[in-house]
Amino acid sequence: MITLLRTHRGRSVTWCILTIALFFVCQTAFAQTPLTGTVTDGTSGETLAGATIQVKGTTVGATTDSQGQYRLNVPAGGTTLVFSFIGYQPLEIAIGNRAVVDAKLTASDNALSEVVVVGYGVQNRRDVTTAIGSVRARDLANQPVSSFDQALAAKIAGVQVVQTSGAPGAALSVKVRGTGSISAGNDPLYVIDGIPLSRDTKFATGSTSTQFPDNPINVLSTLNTDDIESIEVLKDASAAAIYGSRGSNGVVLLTTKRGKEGKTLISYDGYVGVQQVTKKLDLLNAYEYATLNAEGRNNAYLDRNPTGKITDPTSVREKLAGAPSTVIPPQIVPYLNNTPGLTDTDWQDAIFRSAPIQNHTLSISGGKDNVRFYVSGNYLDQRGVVINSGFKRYSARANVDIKSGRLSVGVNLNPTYAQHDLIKGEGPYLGEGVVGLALQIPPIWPVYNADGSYNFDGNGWGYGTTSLLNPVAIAKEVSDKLSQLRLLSNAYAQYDITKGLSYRLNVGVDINSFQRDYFRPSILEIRDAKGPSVPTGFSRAQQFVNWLVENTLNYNHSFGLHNISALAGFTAQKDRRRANELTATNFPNDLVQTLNAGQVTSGSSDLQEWSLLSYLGRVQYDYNGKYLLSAAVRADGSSRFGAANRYGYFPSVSAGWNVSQESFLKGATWLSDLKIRASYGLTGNFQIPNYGSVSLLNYQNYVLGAESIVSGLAPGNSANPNLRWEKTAMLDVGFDANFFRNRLSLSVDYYNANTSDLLLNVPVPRASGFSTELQNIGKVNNQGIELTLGTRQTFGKVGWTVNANIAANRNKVRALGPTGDPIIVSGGVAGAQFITRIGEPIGQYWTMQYDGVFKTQAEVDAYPHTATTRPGDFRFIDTNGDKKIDFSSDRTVTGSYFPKFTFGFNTSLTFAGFDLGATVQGSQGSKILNLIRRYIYNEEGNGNQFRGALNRWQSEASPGDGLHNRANRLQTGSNGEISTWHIEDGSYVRIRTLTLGYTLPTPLLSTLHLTRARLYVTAQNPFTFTKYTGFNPEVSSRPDSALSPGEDYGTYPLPRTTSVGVNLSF
Amino acid sequence: MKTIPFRLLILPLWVLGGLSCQSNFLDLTPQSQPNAANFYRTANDFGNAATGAYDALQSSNQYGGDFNTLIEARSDNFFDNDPSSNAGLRYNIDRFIEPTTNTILRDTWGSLYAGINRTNLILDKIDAVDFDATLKARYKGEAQFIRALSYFNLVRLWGSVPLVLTAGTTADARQYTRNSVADIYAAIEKDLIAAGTNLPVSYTGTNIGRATSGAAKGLLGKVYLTEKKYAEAVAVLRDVVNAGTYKLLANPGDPFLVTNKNNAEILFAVKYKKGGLEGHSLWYGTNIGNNIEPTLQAAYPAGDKRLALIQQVPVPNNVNVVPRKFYDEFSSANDVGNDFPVLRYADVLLMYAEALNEVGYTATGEAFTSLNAIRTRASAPAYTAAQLASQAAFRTAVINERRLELALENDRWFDLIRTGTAIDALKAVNITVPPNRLIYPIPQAEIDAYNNPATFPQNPGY
Repeated sequence: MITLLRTHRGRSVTWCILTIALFFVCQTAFAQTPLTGTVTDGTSGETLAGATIQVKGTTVGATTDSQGQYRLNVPAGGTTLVFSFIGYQPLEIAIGNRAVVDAKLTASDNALSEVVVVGYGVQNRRDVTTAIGSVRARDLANQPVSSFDQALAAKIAGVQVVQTSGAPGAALSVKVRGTGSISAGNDPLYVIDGIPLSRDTKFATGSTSTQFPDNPINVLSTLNTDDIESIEVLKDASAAAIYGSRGSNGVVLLTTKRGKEGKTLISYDGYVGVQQVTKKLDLLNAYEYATLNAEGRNNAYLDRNPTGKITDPTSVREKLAGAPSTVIPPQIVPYLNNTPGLTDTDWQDAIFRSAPIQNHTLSISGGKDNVRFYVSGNYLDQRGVVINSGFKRYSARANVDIKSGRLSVGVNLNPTYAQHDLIKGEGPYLGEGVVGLALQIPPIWPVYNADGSYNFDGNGWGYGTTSLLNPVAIAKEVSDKLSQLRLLSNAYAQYDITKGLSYRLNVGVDINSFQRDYFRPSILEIRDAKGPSVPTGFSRAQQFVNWLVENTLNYNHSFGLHNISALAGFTAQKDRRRANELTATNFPNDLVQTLNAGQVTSGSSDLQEWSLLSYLGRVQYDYNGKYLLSAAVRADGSSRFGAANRYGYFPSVSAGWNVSQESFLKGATWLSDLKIRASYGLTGNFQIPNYGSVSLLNYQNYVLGAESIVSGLAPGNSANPNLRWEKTAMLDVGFDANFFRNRLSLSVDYYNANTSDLLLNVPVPRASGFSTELQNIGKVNNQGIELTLGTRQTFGKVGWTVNANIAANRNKVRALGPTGDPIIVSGGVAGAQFITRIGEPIGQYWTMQYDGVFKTQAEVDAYPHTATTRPGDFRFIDTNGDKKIDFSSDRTVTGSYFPKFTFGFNTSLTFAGFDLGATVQGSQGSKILNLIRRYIYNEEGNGNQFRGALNRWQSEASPGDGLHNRANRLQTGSNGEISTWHIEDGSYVRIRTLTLGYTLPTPLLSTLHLTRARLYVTAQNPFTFTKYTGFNPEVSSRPDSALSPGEDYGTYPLPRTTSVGVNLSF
Repeated sequence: MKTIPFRLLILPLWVLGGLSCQSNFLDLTPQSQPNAANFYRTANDFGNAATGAYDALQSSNQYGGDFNTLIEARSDNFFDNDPSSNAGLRYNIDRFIEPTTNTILRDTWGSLYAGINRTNLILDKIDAVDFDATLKARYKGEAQFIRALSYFNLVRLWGSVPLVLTAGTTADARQYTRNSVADIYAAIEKDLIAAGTNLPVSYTGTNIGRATSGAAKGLLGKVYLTEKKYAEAVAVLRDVVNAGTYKLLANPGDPFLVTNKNNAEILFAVKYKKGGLEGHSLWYGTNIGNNIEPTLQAAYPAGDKRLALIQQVPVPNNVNVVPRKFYDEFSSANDVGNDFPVLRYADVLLMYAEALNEVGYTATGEAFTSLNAIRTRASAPAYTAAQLASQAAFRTAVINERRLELALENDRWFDLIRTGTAIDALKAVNITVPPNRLIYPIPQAEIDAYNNPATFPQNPGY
C-alpha cells in the first residue's frame, strides 16, 4: 500500500489518503469484531487466493490475499460468513465467538453440483440424463469478439463454430452434431432468457448480389457477451424435444446475468486492442508478374504461329489469330527491361489495415429486500481489417427481479443499436469482391494517380485482359450502411401456489428493425466501361415483431427417496415481418446519396407472418439420485404446416444411472462419480416457407381490347396440405465420470440421428398443372462420437485446468426424391459442382481429378487428354477409363467440406494472482474448393499470381515442379476446368485465444477500494497451422446452402487481435 | 397479501382464454400474395382467373414460340438450320430425331396442362358462387374453349394423354393414366358445344379478344374435320359462315398487321402487346439465312400475294429477319407484339370447302366458291370444275390451298397428319419420317414421374 501511495503525486495522495481514511472511519463506525482466517482447498489443503468472504445479510466482505488469508470486521448482528470461490461450492460458517474462522472449500469440479439450464427449467448437473454442453461466463470472458458465438468456438464437443468470414459483425455458422437438413437450414434455435428467437432475421438484410451473396450479418451480435451468465447447448433430441419442431438442429440456451442479494457490485470490463490480418498471400511482385504475363503471351502467340519468334513485334503479332492476347502490352515493357523503381503495388497492403477494437461494459448489480437487479451498458467499436468496414454496438440491459411473498415478478430489457459499415468482402472480381480483386489486380497499377484520383488502368486495359476495378476505390467509395435496432425484452410473474407447485407466466417480445442503404457512386467505373458510371442505390427496410406468451406450471415433490418434478405448459408465439425496398439510379452526381436524388426504378413491399401454438409437458423422476428417468412431449401447431398436419408431436425419454452411488462402488476412492445415461427423442425443423403449403397465385396478365393489359391470376404452385416439419429421431448414449476426487473428468457420447421428411422440391406429373411440389421426402443420417476430458490439478500454488474435447460426425444421405436421383448444384462457376447422393455425405465436391502436368509430348501421347492439350498442360484423370477426357463423365467425388473430426482444447494456469489461458480449435479432414485459384493460380498472366507460379512448366527441358502448368494467356488443355487443382486440404489447428492476466492481491484492492481487479493481455487468433493457401480454412461462400458448402471465392480474412483489458469490481 | 396474487392470476387466464378463442391463430393466409384458398369467391375472381387461363396460351411454350417448332418446323413449311444452338433442341425436332428428354416437349406439355388446370379450377368452382348468369355463362364458355383448344393441341401432338377435367392434387395426378384418343375428342366436342352456347357472338371495348361463340364453333369444325366427321363439320361451319360475323379482309396480309388487330377475319387470336410485359420474341426470326422451305415458296402460283407474306425481311436495329406475316418492330424492351391467329375466317372457308367436298363432291356450289374466295383475294387464279374434276382432286387442292394460305400459322403438320400425307410430304423435303414419329414421345420427365410402364407407357417406338 505504501509503495502504491508513493507512486502517486501530491494531490492524488491526499485524495487517496482521505478516501482510505474515510473507509476506515466507516469501517470503524460499524465494525464490532475483527476477524481473520485462511481459506484452503478442502482436498489438497492449498491456500486459495482471491476467494471472497461475505458477512451474510450485509454488504461487508473481503477477499483472500495471495496467502489465502483474509481479514474483515464483522458488523453488529453478523453471525455467519459466506465463503465462495469460482470452481468451489459456496460454504456458510457460523462465526460464533471465534476471532479466527478458517474455511476448507470443496471443489465443485466438473460442476457436478452446478445448476444447468434446461428448456423451461433448471436441473442439477448430477441429474441430467441428456447431452447438454455448458459454458459459463468465465469461459467466455477475455475474448475480443463481437458476439458470444465466436467465444463458443472449441468449448463444447459436437458444437462446431465456424467463422466463415472475418468481417466485423458477420454471421458465423454454428452447427450442432452435423448437417441434418438440405434446404431448411442447419442453425440451432437460440433461446435468450426463455425467448426462442426467430431465425428469419438472419436473412433480413439481403445481399448486393444474388450470384455472389454477401455473408449475412450476425443478428445475434446484439447480445453483449459480458451480460451472459451461462450458455447451454441442448445437443441430443431428448433435451431439445421440449422445443419440439424447432429442436432438430440443437438448442442454444442463453441466460443473462441477474443481481444477487448482497453488496451492490459495480463492475467495469473493457479492452482495447488492435487487429491485423492473420496472413497475407504470397503473390508475385510487379516484375515477376510482367515476366509471366509476357511469357503467357509469347506462348499464346507461338501456339498460333509455330514459325513465329518471340522477338516478333506487335505489328506482326496483331495481324495474326489470337491478337490482342498475343501482343506484349507496352505497359509491361519497362518491367521486362528491369527498369528500377516502377510501380509495384502491394494491393493487399492497400486494402488491409491495422484496425482498432474497443469494448466497454459497465454493470451494476445487487439486491436487497426482495429486489434484485443487474443493469449494464455496453459500447463496442470494431473497425475491420479491410478498409472502410466496421461494426459498432450500443446496448443496455436491465434485469430486475422482485419477490413479494409467494409472488415473484421480473423484467429483462435489452435494447441494442448496431451499425454495420459493410464492404463487399466475399466474391470474385465479377461481384466486385474487394479481397478477391486485391489478389487479382496486377501490381503494375498504382492505387492512385499522380493527381490523387483513383487509378482505373486495370479496367479496360485491353490486350485481351480481364477488366479489374480498383479494390481500394470500391471499398472506400461504395457506401453500404446497415443498422439493426433490437429490443429484446420479457417479463415474468411466478406464483407459488402451494409447496412445490408454482405457476409462471412469461411474456416476451423481440422487435428487430433493419435498415440498409447502399450507394455506388459515379466515381467508380463499371467493368469494361471507362469513365464515370451511372450511380445506383437501394434502400431496404425490414421489421420483425416476434411475440411470445408462455404459461407453465411446475411441480416438485419428494416422498421418501422418490423425487418427482413435473412441468406443463402452453405457449403461443407469432412473428410478423414487413419489408420494403426501393432501388434507384440516374443520380445526377454523388452529392446526395439517398434515393430522393435519383430516379426510383423499382419498389417492393412484403408482409409475412407465422404463428406457433404449443403444449408441452415433462416429468422427471429419480430414486435417491441413483436412478433417473425423464420423459417429455411437446405438441407444436404452426401456420407453416399444411392443414392436414397442423400439429406435430415431439416426445422424448431419457434415463440415467448414477452407478457410483451404488453400494458396490461406494468404497472406490478412484471413482468419484459415474453416471450412465441414454436418451431418445423426436425433434423437428419448422424452417419451411411461411406459406409453403398454400397454393399461391401469380399475376398472369393478358392483353384484351385495344391493347390493354388485363390482370389475371393463376396458381403458381400446388397446395400441399400435407407439408410439415422435417423430423429428427436421435438416440444418444453416454456416460459422465469423475475420477480421483473429481480431479479428472470424462464424458463420452455416441449419437445416431435420423432426419426424415426432408423438404425437397420434388418433380410431380406435369399433368397436375405444375412441375414440382415442395414435399417432405428425403432422409439424412448423422452419427458421431463426442469425448470431453477435463482435469483440475494443483501443484503447490499453481493451479492447472484442462478441458479438451473431440468430436467426429459422419453424415450420410439415406433418401432423396422419388427417383433417388442425385442432386447436383453449381457453386460460384458452372464447373464447380457439388453432388448430393444417396449413401454419401451432403454436398461433396464433384469435379475433375488433376494429376500434375504433362511434362513432355511423349507423356501427352501416352495418356488421354483434351483436343488442345500440349506439354505443360494439366493431366486430368480419365476416371471412367474410356480413354477420353470428358468434363461431364470423368467427374468424380473429390472431397467434402465436412471435417473428419473437430477438437477444442482449453487450458488455464494460475499462480499467485497470475492466470494464463489458452483456447485451441482444430478441424481435420475437411476440403476447400478454392475457386480464387482460378484467377490467381492459372498462369495466364491476366491477373496477379501466387508466387508458386514461378515453378511453372517452361519447356520439356525446364518442366518446373511438375505441378504448375505452362504460362499461356490463351489456355490450352482446359486447365481452367474445375479440378482437384482447386481443391485443398482445409485442416487446421488454430490457437484461438492466448490470455495472460494478473489479479491484484487483496491488500492492494482494499487500498483501491476495489473488490476485484484484473489486468490482462489477450491475443486472439495469434497462430493458425494449416496447409490451406487461402486466408481462412473455415471459409464457405454460401454457409446457408447445405448443398454447396466450402467454397472460397474471395473472402474477408479473419483478424488477429492483440488487446489489453481490465476487469474491475467496486 | 394473499388475495392480490390470486387476482393477478386472472391476467394469464385472460391471455390464455384470449388465445384459445382465436381458433384461427394458426390459419394465417398470405398477405402480400393472393392464394388459391381464398380465391374463386366472387365474379371478379373468376374474371381474373379467366384472364389467367388465356395467359397460358400466350406462353413461349405454346403460341408464344414452341408451337412454331413443334408444328411448323416439324412440317414441310419451315426448317431449323441451327444444329448447334442449345445442342440442337429445335433442330432435332425439325429432323425427327428429338430425344424423349427434349425440353420443348416437356415444357409444352407442362404449359398445356397448366392452362388446363386453370380452366378446371374455374369450372370446378364457378357453380358454387352466385353472380350474374350471363357473365357466369361467359366465363364458363371461355374456360371450356381454352380447355378444348389445349386438349386439341395435346391430342394432336401426343395422341393418348391423361384427360383431366377437374383440378386434382399432385397426389391425384400420380394416379392419372393415358385416356383414349376417342375419349379426349369426346371431351373436346362437349366443351366446344357448350362454349358455343355459353359464349357471346361478339364483345365490345376491353373485352374484345375473348373467345366468342363463333370461335368455339369454328374450332369445333376443325375438331370434326380432324375426326373425319364431315357432316357435323359442315353443319357447324355453315353456322359460322351464315352468321356473317366474320369476313375476309381485302388483302391476304391485312389480317396480320399489328396496326390492324382484332380485325373482322380473326375468330380467335392469342394476343400480345410489346413493351416488356406482354410481348414475345420474333416468330421464325433467324440470323443465319432464310429457312422457309423452298418447296413452299415454289408452291405459290405466279402473282400470288401470299408469297411475300412468308418471305423473311429484316427488322430495324436487329440482326434477325422475320416472315412478313409476323413483322413487327422491336420495342425498347426488346420484344414485339404480333397477335397469333389461332383461327381466322380464311381457315373457316377452307375447312368448309373441304368438309363439303368430303360429304360429296359437286362441280359447282359452296365448296368451290369458298375455296376460290381465298384464291381470288390472293390474286391466284380461281379453280374451275374442269381443273378439279373429282373429289380427290378437290381434296388435294384444298389441302394445298391451306398450306399456302395458312403457312406458318401452326396448321400444316396437323393437316398432313389428319389427311395421312405427312410421310410423303416430308419425303419431298428430303426427310424420312419414321411412322411412329407422327406423334411425339411423351416427355421423359412425365414418364419418370409416373414410372409405371403399365398405366403410363411411352408412345411406341420411343
